[in-house]
Amino acid sequence: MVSIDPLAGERWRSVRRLTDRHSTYAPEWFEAGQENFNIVQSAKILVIGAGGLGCELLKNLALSGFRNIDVIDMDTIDVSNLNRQFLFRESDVGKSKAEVAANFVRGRVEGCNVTAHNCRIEEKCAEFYRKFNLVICGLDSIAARRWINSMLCDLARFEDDGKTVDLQTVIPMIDGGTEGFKGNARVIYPRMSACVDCTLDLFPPQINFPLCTIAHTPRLPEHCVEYIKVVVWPKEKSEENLDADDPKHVEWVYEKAIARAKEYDIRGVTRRLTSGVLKRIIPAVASTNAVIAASCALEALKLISNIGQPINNYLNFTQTHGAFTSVVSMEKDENCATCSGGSFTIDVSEMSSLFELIEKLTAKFHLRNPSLETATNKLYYISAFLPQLEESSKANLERKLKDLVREGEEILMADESLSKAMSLRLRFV
Amino acid sequence: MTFSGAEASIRYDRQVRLWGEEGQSSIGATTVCLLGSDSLGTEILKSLVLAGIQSFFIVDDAKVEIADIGQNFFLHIEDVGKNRAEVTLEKLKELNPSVAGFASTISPTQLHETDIGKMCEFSVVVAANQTENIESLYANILWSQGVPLVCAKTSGFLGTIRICVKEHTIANSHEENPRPDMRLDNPFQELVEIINETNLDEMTIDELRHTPYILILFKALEIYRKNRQNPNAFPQSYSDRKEIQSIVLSLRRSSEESGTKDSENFDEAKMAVTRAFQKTEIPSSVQQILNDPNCSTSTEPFWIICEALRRFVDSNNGYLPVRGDLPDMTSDSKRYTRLATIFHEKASIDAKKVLELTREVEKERNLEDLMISEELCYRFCKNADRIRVQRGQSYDVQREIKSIIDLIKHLSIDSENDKSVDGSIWLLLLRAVDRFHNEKGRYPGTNGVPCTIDAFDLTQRVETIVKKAAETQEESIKIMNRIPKNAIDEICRYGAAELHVVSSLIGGITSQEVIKLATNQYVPLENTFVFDGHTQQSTTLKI
Repeated sequence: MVSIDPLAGERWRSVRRLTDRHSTYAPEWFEAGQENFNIVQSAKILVIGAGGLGCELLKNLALSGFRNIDVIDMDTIDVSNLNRQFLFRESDVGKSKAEVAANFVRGRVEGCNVTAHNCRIEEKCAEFYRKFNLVICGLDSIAARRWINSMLCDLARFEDDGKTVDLQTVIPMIDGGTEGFKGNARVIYPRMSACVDCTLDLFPPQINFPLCTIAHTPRLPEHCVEYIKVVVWPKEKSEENLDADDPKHVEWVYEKAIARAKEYDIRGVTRRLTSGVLKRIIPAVASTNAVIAASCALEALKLISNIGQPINNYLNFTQTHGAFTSVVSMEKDENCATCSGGSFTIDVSEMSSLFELIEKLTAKFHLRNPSLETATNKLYYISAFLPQLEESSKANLERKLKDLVREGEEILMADESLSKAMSLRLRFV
Repeated sequence: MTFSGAEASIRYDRQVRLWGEEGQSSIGATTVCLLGSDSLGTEILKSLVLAGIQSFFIVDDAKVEIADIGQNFFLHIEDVGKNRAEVTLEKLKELNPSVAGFASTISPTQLHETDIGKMCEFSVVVAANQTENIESLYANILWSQGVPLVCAKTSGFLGTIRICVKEHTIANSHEENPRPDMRLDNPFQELVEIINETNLDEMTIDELRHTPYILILFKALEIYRKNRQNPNAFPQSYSDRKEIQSIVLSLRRSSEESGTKDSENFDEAKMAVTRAFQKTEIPSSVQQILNDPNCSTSTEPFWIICEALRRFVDSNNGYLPVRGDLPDMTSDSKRYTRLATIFHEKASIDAKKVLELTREVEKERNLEDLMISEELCYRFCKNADRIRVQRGQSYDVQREIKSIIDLIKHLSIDSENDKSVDGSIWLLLLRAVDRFHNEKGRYPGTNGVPCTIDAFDLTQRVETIVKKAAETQEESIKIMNRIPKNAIDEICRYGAAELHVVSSLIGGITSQEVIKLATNQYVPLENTFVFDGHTQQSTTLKI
């Protein structure tokens, strides 16, 4: 019997095999047919970040049949990106990541429209985000992840009953992250499944060396670098901010750190360590980015075309010892301030000072300069706009929590890394 | 074009932080041969070229088809009809100007006949979506020469990686959280001196609370021994360690101002008891390596240092060299850095002895002097308690099928509701697909043949394989019952589809396995990896 493959001359033959054919492993509502692929081609996808994951994501989406892709990134290309951000060349150093990446994919994959946005995510409004069918993040910043998560949660609306989520307003979010040979990929249905803030404890807390250690009892090379950054630079170079991307600044810190290390007999201060501490560098290889981005894009393809069942809902990957993927189901926190309208409960001693609470919150939520207020009292607010509050704010820092707030009282916390104020309640332990 | 040291240092910065300069220089000396330049093959090479290998060589006689454009990023629509190896070569080379690339447009089978010896000059050979016949052809030659072969495949949502290597040595396994090497049971001289100088009772509260926990543990051990009236007692059991913990806590003192005994260094000491109080022994896996016959004959650097290490251990009361890395712990600067320094210096002295023994072995085996650098030897000693040797399985289709079937036989079948298919079953089905292709010249679910017809054919092939490998008819029925009909239908649905995302995922993992094989760092998977894109779960099977 001689048969002819109906997809013989089809550019998208591989994807079409899956969109056009029946499967018992696809979701129940999957109906085989070309229509599924047409939906892929017309879907509007937003990629956040055009770095290690972003470059891979753009390629993966373009070669899955997606044709309407937007990419947003505020960064410019650096030489140290070239070991994995494969859409960039040496001649691109200094240019916008979003623009170069978009141009490259447009040029390589005919018919794929990639639109670049060379800006911060915070510069785009809700209307911008509302027009996408799906958002995929390839970010290295927890603050940015939380911001977009919160935006998408806000976009998801409840029906008139106040309980059921209006599916028309839900924009699924797929989030990838890597560090060295480890990574994760997750699928979030805002307000319907565990969101970034429901599972905030999954992120390692920011490592902040205690000031007393770096000032008085340094023992690690990192302590020496941190001391120069936090104490010496502001003292000796008060006219200029320390810019970790400026090699001259790095060199200055390096030399001072070497001297301090010598004084304390500490080994191991190198240029690489110095820049690593100053920029909080996360090690990265091409292969892990490829794996995690592919995992994210596979979920995107499943979600839009229904050719397979999406994962539920969090994938871990590691490859130092063999290679492992495993999927766990993260549970939604029904009290999540971001997706359930609840408050975060913070366990803290009533004898702690406001300063200690702020340090704890900054580490947990990866904040920059938070301000806190209750319904009746501005607890802490440092801003050029309201200088009159500075004095009372600073005075409050030393005061005990029991003298400032009641247990369970709502505290609103704002920070530049949050898309809106966050509700907190203290539990005294 | 090669990068200057400074250029390379910045370009590779983010990865050198992981595998070190030594890893980068191994990668820079690595040559890779790729059989097949489909999307899987190019995705594998992409990550290797970016990482900075020395060179790659693509062997592929395929012409670019229209369907390639929809799945392979290293092709452009205008390339249809051209030689795939040549076009992908040019686009891959753009990723890193320091990497050399070559291509041959003859098929892997032909190359095998004409240029057989050349294959063994590569550091690693990678087969991307090659047939069982081609894989086994290469596997046999490479196996005997000790060159690793990595076979990667994709089909629809599925992907597999099989590593075929006779012997692979690992000098730095990068184990996470290795057990600390504190020598609590046999402190070296300099350490004993510090312990003897330390008197917790005479310290001020501030000094006590800034005493590094390793000293607290030694002091707790002294009391433990005194209590037992046995100067050599060492906690062995859970309850012994509990006792040590309570001794640790009893050494605390409360300060007048705070009224509490709590302090960070004692908390750390208590936490560290379980991991720190282990006898300093040679792990059995390392002892096995030191007993390996290769130690007494091999001229490979790994085995030469192992022989030196063996001799060192013999003359060092059965102890490995001191690793030299002291964990971070709360302390004042002076005592921590003093301790860190004596550990570091002791490690240097031990490593130096191993280096001398290495030179001795080199001479005995008539090797050129200084083949093994001082740095290499020192690094080796640092990780000596975690060295590994993997011994692989040769590529033998019949044996592999038998072991796959054995795995299926022993599967614990969960509930009826569990729709996920075990990796061993997918692997068996993919073997049957290979047979199908071998005999019919096409894959199931292609050429417009209805999937149901191909599914029927494929089921029969699976049955034939199972019958041949199973011991009894009963067993073969049992195994066939474990193979869901839906899984066979699903394979036919794929029609050998090359989903780019699956190629990219399997390509990423494969390239990192190649890097492990080339750097002798990290632990390669043993020996077959199966990825299921439905669930995104994966399994590793030793077949």
